[in-house]
Amino acid sequence: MNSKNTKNSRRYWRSLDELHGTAAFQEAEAAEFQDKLPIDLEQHGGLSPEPPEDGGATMAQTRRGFIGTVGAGVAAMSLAGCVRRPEDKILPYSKAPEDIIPGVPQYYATAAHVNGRAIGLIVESHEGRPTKIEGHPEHAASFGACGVPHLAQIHELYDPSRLTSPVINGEQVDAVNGEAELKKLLDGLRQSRGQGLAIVSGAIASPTLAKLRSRMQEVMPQAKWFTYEAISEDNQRAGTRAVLGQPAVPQYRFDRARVLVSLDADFLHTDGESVRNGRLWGATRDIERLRKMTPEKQAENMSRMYAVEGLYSTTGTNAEHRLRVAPSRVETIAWAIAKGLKDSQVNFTAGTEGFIDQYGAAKLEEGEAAFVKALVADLLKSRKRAIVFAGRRQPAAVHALAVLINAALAAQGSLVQYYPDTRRPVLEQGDADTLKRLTEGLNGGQITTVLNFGTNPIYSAPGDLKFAEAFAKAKTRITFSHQAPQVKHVEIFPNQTERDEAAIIDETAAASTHVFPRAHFLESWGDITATDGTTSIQQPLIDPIFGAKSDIEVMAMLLGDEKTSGYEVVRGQWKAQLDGAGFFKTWRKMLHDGVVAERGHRAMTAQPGVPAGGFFDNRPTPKAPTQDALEVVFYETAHLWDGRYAGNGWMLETPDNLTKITWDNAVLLSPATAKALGVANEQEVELTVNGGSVKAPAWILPGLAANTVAIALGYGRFFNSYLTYQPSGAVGANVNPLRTMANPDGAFGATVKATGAPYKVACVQRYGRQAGYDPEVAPGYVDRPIVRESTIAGYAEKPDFAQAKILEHGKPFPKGAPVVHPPAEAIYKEHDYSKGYQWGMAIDLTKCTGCNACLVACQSENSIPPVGKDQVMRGRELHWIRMDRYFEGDAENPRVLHQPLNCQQCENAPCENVCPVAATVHSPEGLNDMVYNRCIGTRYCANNCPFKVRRFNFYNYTKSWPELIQMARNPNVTVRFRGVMEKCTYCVQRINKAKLSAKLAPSDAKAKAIMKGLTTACAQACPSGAIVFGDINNKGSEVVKAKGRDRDYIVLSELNLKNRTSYLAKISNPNPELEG
Amino acid sequence: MSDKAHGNAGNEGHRPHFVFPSWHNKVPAIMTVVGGMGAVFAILAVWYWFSPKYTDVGYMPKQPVPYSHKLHAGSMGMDCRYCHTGVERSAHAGVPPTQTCMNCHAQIKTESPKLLPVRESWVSGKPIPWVRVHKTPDYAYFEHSAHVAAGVGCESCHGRIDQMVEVRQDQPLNMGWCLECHRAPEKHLRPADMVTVMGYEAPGGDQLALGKKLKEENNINPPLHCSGCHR
Repeated sequence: MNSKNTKNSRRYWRSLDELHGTAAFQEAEAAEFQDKLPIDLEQHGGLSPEPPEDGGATMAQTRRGFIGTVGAGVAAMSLAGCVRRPEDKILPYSKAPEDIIPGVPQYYATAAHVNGRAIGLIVESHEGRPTKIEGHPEHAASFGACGVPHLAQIHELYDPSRLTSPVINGEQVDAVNGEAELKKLLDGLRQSRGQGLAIVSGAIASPTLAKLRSRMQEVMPQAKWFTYEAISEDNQRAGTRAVLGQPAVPQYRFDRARVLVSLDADFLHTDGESVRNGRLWGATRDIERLRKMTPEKQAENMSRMYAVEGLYSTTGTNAEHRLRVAPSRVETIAWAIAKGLKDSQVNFTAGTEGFIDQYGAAKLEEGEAAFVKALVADLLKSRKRAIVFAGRRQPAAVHALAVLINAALAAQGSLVQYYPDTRRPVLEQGDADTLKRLTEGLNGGQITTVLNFGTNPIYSAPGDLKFAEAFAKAKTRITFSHQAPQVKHVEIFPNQTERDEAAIIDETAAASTHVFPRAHFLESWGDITATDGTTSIQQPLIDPIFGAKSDIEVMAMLLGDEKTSGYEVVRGQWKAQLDGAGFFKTWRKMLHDGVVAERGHRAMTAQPGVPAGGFFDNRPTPKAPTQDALEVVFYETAHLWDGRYAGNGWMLETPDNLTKITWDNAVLLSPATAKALGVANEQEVELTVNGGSVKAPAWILPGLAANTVAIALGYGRFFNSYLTYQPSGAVGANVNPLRTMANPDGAFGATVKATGAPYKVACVQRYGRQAGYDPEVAPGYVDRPIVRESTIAGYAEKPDFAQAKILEHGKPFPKGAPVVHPPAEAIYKEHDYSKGYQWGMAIDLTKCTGCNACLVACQSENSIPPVGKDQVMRGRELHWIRMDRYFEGDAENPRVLHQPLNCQQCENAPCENVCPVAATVHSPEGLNDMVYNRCIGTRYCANNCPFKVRRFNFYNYTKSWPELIQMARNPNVTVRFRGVMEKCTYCVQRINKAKLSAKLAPSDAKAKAIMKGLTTACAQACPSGAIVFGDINNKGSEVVKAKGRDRDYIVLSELNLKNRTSYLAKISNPNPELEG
Repeated sequence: MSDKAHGNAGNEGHRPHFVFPSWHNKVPAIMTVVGGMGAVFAILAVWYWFSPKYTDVGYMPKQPVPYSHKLHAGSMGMDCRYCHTGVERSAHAGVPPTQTCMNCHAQIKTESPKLLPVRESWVSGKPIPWVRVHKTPDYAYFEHSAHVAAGVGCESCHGRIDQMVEVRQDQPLNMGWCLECHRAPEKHLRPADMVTVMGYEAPGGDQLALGKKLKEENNINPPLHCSGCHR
């Protein structure tokens, strides 16, 4: 690696408009507000009598109207002062539950799963009301961290679109009649011994439910079970079955790996145990541990990732080298890698060499060949310390090949463990097969009754299956659903009817004859086995809010058991398994610890063998995509998954990791492809493939493979909003009708045509740019980017690369270029912050993967409301953390850097100087306090903030919410009203609580431990451990260590703001052979 | 005004000019004095009638059960913490559950009509709807446990509860009042075991000396910055 890259001479950009300096970008830069003023100042000489066309702010627009409104407001205020304060009630318990002290939160261990992939959780509960989900430090899939979908489960629990009562033949019935009807139905099914019954469920991670399923086969032998997940891991299952003899789930020890090869995988965001993966991967990026070694050893010991992919994934953004190829070409590259290894005397499983020779011989393009050559050389150097992993969309052959390569590199056993896939019965082939058999059974009339546990195949099944038509043929269709089957008024709480309409409709429930509410995981007893066989007891945190039943309870009812409460069933099952003696204690311990000592299954020891005949052969070779026959990728996001979270406002408003789009999915194209097709950003386009078409906005995403388009799954569901500022209607485009059973993850031969209509997209990276670092903008000054990076070699050569050169005040400018920036001086006298607690944060960009977990954790901890697409388009989203995504380099194939930006807690805060009412002032502990009740909403502070991290409540976003959602709020954080500024507080409620607990602690050691355990919600949730928070006056603390490093830098340090949040520059470990 | 009324009055005949009487000369002086007094009155009125000392102190809503603190805490000498159990561990002192009442009233005064709501609550499981007397705004996070641990007596904020038949607000509980004590906590600090004692007097009557000593010993530094109480 040469030192050229250490000079920070690169240009980082957040949008293509910025890169090219287009007129739109310049206009946005010059504008004071993102949201245009509702009046045309030039035309009307200041005031317009006409209402704004774009429906902007609707305040009185004439001087007279303005005075009138203000006058009325003043009158109303003085009248309000005369009213005696309303009577406020205190309602204590009648009989107090044990252990609850009102005002003191409780924490319970539980577990959740998505697609059968478990994660251990700790849930905070206030007087029986769960409010915050955190990772379980002792669970191997969490290590105390948490992912985006898990964090948002709180919002899911209090989702106003939840089904509140049974609906039978379209009629709402009360809970008692509903239960009687359900019992009658289930008894009938049992008596007929399951004649014509099909049970459909998602992946099952619960041993108790699996037991009930096998008991059902005895009691009702004619009934059939169908396991179906829309985001299918069929390919992995088939691939591992072919070489390992049975379907397996790999688990990786990324912390031990040096070379990582991602074949279209996204192990840091959507694949399996992404939280665990993030933590282990982060461990290999511990620069300080590496710095103790010699420079050669550093490069040898730091992990290096190679990604081969067509879509730009979160994993791809963290890779040192990324080969941009169409997804269908990844397989060719994988074979070439295997061939390269084999040719270098790496021993592959006997009998597979022939295939490798045959398929690895395909001709590679120049760039591909160089990539593969360097990669193979690196793998050879790192035998036993390299992992190859394949993404779920890649065909089974790639998964099998990954197993073979891992075995050949001697990674299997130490770095890669294969565990039996217990999430479905062994005899089941996979999701596609399940769906096919189910549809055939329905069409053939063998299936007359469907019992559906929360799956939604009518929405998510590929279009060519025509599942909806088949489903309608069953006589009795029973669905347990989280979401309502129809939009209606449901009076959850008085006076809220208007707002409490169902926000989203469950399509399969809508087509069912009997719909019953299905319990959320925080409402039900259960147990969940993780990939590695560790089992956790799933404890409920709250009684089912709408009397919903869990799958386990319904199964117990179906089997005619005497005890059907979830608690009795789960406890009974464990009692039987663990041998009654001393069970009471064991059970209490299991509940407390959240992890059961005994493991359900262990790693497989089988070495791979030769797949049965024809597995590698007889497969179609896809043609390279062209401009007229594009390749399409249907990808899942962790936010909406298969669409199950499409009613979740938190998830819809969390910006996509790469595109930074909220509230929409888009047809993603690379700049060159877009140009060739004549498509511009934010144009509505028609994507036609497999005989169908959808309309969606076009979005140009640099880094996508040529002639490849991608569009996210899970969108296009009707969202009837509880968010007053989000119009009802479909959110995004539903692409499931375009998918086929043969290839549900992609398509070939697609065309994209602009319809001519514009389609505005709410992207959050258009505003909030921190300018001033660009030599073109400020000519002559040394370029100091907001994100700084180097390579491990460059860092050894120039350890202070991240430091800005700031001229000391009063000294003359040095002669000759480059000119350095003169320092700014504080306006007021600087305070002494040398005593007491002084809070600070350091964020390591080397570890940050850009996964958004911090953003959602912050949203949950600080009760931040989503505001809806319309408001996001005006730049009014309220997230306290802005996940900045910077592109670097070539517009066609750039690299990506992520940077979470929260309030920097400047010691010389520019916001404080301009507040006319002292609503933002400094605390002696270095916090930039925001005092909501003083704020009068001038927004001067936001204007003066160089980091653009202050958020304003343009409307009373929270008041118009249903009471149900209000239950998710943190009682220790103030609810912000309209007209009030808000921003990151470093979780001051946690700081205060820790300080108090330490004060009340019985001993100094305990007090120290409490203060050491203090952390912010973002740092706590971060899977890779990139965020460190603590007391910068405590010399031994992690944050002091981090801030003492030479790659620690402050954003816009020339302004002399003394930010308390600092960043550790990103260090990567590129392969010198691939650096041009 | 129309043109006719305005400009052409002369055409309609001559009217005598109106002459201001001489006492009108005093009007400006009277207006100045009265207006000035009015302004002073307005300021004083707002000062007095709008202050929490006037609006909030003495607030004594009717409670669903005529529970007498004077009887229980005063005459019988029950400790505050028998009922307000959260006061040492939580932000809220806590109003006791019906269960606490029934500890005694399952045996004493079991037929009393005044206690009917208590018995009803005990049977139905529904809470007794007590009316809140002491209220800080939602954005102010008062923490009972911190104050009790620091040695601030219950009496300092709640007054002589042991002499109140019905609880009423004794102190204004506004921010200025909070800050008075946060700036000079020595005026109110007591030894930890005296917190719930009513009518406590420092040894020798020298509260300031005791307070200063306790402040030093227990490292009492009440926050004066915003996020100490607002978050």
